[in-house]
Amino acid sequence: MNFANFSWPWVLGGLGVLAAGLFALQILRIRYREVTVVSTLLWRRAMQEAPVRKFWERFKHPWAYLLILAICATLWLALAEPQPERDSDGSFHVLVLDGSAGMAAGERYAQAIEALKDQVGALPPGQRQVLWSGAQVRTLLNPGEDELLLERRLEKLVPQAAPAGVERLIGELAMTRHGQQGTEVLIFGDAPVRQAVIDSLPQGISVRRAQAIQALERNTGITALGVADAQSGIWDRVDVFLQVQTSDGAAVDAGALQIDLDGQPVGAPLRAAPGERNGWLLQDLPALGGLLTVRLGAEDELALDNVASIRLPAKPYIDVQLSPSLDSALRAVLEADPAVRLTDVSPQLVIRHEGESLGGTLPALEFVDAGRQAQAFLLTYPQDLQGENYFADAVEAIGLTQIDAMALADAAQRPIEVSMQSGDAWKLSLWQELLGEDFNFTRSRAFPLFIANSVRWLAGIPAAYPYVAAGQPLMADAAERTVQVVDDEGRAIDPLGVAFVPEQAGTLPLAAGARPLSVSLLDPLTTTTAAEPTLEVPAGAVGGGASSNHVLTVLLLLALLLLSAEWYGYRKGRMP
Amino acid sequence: MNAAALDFNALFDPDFLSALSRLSLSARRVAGGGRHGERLSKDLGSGVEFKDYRPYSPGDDLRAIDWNIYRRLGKLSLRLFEEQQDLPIYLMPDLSSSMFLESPPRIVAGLRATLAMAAIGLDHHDSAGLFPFSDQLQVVFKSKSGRASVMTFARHLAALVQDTQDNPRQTHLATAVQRLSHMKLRSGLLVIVSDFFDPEGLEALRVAMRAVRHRLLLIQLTKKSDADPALQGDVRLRDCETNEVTDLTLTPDVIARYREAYKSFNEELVSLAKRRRGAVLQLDVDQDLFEQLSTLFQSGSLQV
Repeated sequence: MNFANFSWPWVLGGLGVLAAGLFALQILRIRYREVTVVSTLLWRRAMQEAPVRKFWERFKHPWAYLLILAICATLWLALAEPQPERDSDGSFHVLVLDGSAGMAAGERYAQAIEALKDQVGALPPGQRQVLWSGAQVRTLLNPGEDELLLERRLEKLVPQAAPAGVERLIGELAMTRHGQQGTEVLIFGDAPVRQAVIDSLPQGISVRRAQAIQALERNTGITALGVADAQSGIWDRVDVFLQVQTSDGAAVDAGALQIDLDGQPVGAPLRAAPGERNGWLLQDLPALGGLLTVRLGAEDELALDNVASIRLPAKPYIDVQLSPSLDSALRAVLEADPAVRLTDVSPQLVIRHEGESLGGTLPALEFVDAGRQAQAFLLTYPQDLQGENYFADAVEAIGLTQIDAMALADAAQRPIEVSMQSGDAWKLSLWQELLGEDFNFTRSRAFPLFIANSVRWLAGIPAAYPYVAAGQPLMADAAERTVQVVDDEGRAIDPLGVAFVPEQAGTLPLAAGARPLSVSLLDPLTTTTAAEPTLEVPAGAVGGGASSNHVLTVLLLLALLLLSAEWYGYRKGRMP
Repeated sequence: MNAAALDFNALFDPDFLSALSRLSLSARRVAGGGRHGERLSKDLGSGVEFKDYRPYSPGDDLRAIDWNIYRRLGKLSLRLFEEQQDLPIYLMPDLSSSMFLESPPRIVAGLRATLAMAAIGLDHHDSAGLFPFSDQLQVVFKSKSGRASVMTFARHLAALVQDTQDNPRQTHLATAVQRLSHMKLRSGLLVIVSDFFDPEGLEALRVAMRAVRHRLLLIQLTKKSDADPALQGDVRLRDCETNEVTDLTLTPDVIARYREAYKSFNEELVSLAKRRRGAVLQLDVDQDLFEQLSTLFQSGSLQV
C-alpha cells in the first residue's frame, strides 16, 4: 500500500498526531449543554462532596474516544489517498500511449485509452508517468499528478498521420533514466518496437506491451512516392515512383489508383517499376512545381495512408549569356548541360570576365585576375540579404567541397580560399587563371559539375525535394539553393545544421514565397502493421488491484458510517 | 399547562373547589384569645368540657366557683373548662421564579394546595391569612373567616400569579419567615407552600424559624426529577433565580452524590419541621393534587 499524497512517515505521523490530539481534546474537552434548573443548590452541594478531580480521570469515555479516533483516522487516510501497491520493488512505470497513424484504424485508439486508464488507476501516482507518442511526444501525466487530469488532457488528442515514434521515445527514456533502477515502459498501442531496440536498452529498463497487437484485416496504403529527374533526360520533366503495400501482401490493381496533378487527372500511363512489387513509374511529368496527389479508390480500415502527395520540382531552363572571351573555355560545358540555354537575349545570368559590361547587374559568373582577388572563390550576395545565412549552403550547392583544393593550391602556390561579401547582385567570382593550363581544373571531373552548380545557384532555383515523408529527414538536392521551412506565421523552424524532419503528413510552408511542400505518411510499418511480436504482453493490467478512487470511496463511506454511528449514539444518550 | 396560561379558571376548577370540603384538618392545640371555633384551645375557659380546678383569685368569674368544694373543704376553687377556639392559619405560598419554570409549573400545585388549606380551615370556622413570598413577604390579608372567603382567596391567588409571573423573583424564605415572626399575629398554624430551594439553604430558614411562635406545616412541592434528574454528560446548570451557573460532568458517581444531597435536604426539612412540632407534606406536582390530598386525609383529618 502506498499513498498518493503523503509518504508512509507522514501518514503514520499524522495518525499519531490525531490520536494524541483527540486524546487531549477528550481529556480537556468541556462541551457543556446548558440546562436551566429550579436550583443549583443541591448540585453544588454534591460537587462539594466530590473528591478533587485528577487529570486522568477526565478520560472517561474510551469508546467515544476510539470512535472519534476511527473517524479521524479514516478521513486522514482518505486525505492521504492510499494506493493499492502491486510492485514491491518500487519500479517506475512509463505508460506510453501510441498516437501514431496506425492507431486510427478501427477501435484501436479507444481501446488503448481504456486500457491506459485502467492501468493508471492501478499504479501509485508517484511511480508512473504517462506519455503520448504521436507526431510529437507529449506528457499526459507527470509523476504524482492526479489521474483525473488524464481524461481532460486526452480530449483533443487523436491519432496523427505520423509514423510510430515509440522506438525513438524508448531510446530517449533509456538515456534519461540510464542508471536509475526499475523502469518499465508499457506501450498502449501497436507501435512496432524492434528486437534491436530492446536489446540496446540498459539494465533496469524493460519494455512491455499492454495489449496484444491487433493486425489489420485488410489494409492498403501508399508507402512510397518520390520524384527524380526524368529518365528521358528532358530537363523540365520528372519521373515519379509510386509504391503501394497491403497488410496481407496481396497484389494491387493499378486501376484502383487515382492520380492527379494540381487537381487534373494525369494522362501519363502507369508503368510497373522494374523489380518492385506493387510499384509503378509515372514518366516525364512536367516539372513546373505542381502538386501530384495519389489516392486509393477503395476504403479500408486505415484511411490515413490512402492518400499521398508530393510537390514536383520547378525546373525551368536557365538562359545564360556567355561572354565571347570565355566561349572557347566554357561553351562546350554549358552546351552539355541540359538545363542551360545559351542566349544573347534576355538572359537570366551572364558569364564574363571582370570588367566586362555584359549583363550589367544580372547575376554573373565572373572570372577575375588572381592578382586582383585574394580569394580563389568569392561569393557576392545582394546587400539586402544576410549573406552569412547562405554561405554554408552556397559552398555546398556550388560544389566547392568537391573541388581538389589542395591541387589548386599547389598549382597556384597560394592558399585557395572561399569568401563571401555583399554587393549589388548575386555573383561568383573566381580566378581566371583556373581556366589556364597550369591548373588542371578545367580537365577535372568536378569542373562541369562546378559550372552547372554555379549556374543553378546563380539562377536561384529553389531546392527540389525528391521524397517528403513524415518522420523522414527533409533532404534537398544539393545543387540547388535550399529554402527554409517556416511555420504558419512565417518564422523559420529549420534546426541549424540538421535536416528538418516533418512530424506528420500535411502541408509544409517554405520561406521566400516558395510553394509549400506536401508531406505524406509513406510508412510501410503503419500500413502493414508489420510490428514484430517482440514484446511481452502481461496477462492483466499491471498493478491490477483496486483503483485508488475505489479505496478513497470506501474510506469516505466508512467515515460517514462511523459519523452516523456517533450521531446515533449521541441522540440515544450513549455518547457524551 | 404553562405559566403563561395561568388564570383563575385554569388554577381552580369547580370540581376541585367542591372536593375540598371533604378534607379536614385538626390541630392538637391552638392558643387562646381568638374567636370560638371547633378546635380545643390550650386556654381553659368557658367551654363545656371540664378540664381542671384552680384556686380562686380576685376578679375571677364567680359563676365558675365550685360551691360543692367550698362546702366540703371551705376553699374557693374555680372549675376550668376547655374552650374551643378557631385555628388561625397563615398561608405562605412561594411565588419565586423556580415555581414557574418547569412544565407543569410547580406554582399550579402550590396555589391549589394553598387554596385547599385555606378552604379546609375556613370550612371548619377557622381564620386564614395570606402571606405570599418570594424575595420578600407580602401581606394580602392577615385574617379571613367564613366559608365564603374561599373564593376571595382564590381570586387573590390567581391575581398574585398574574402579577408575579411577569416579574420573577428570587426565593428568600428565611427573610419572609423572619418578617412574619415580627408581625403580632395570634399563634396559629403556619403553612409554607414551596419547593424550599432557597439559595440561602435550610440553615438560614432554621435560624429564622427560632422567632416563629406558630406551629408549622411545610408543604413541599416536588417533582420526580428532583430525586432522579434526567441529565447526563457535560452540562452547564443555570439557576433560574440567581442565574448562577454550575458546570458539571454527570457521572454515575456525581448523580449518586446528588441523590444523597437531595435525600439529606429532605431529612433536614423534616427535622426542621419536627423541631417546631410540625410536619412536612410532600406533594408531587405532576400528580393529581386532590388525589394526593385525599390519600393523605383518608382518615378524614390530619393531625399536626
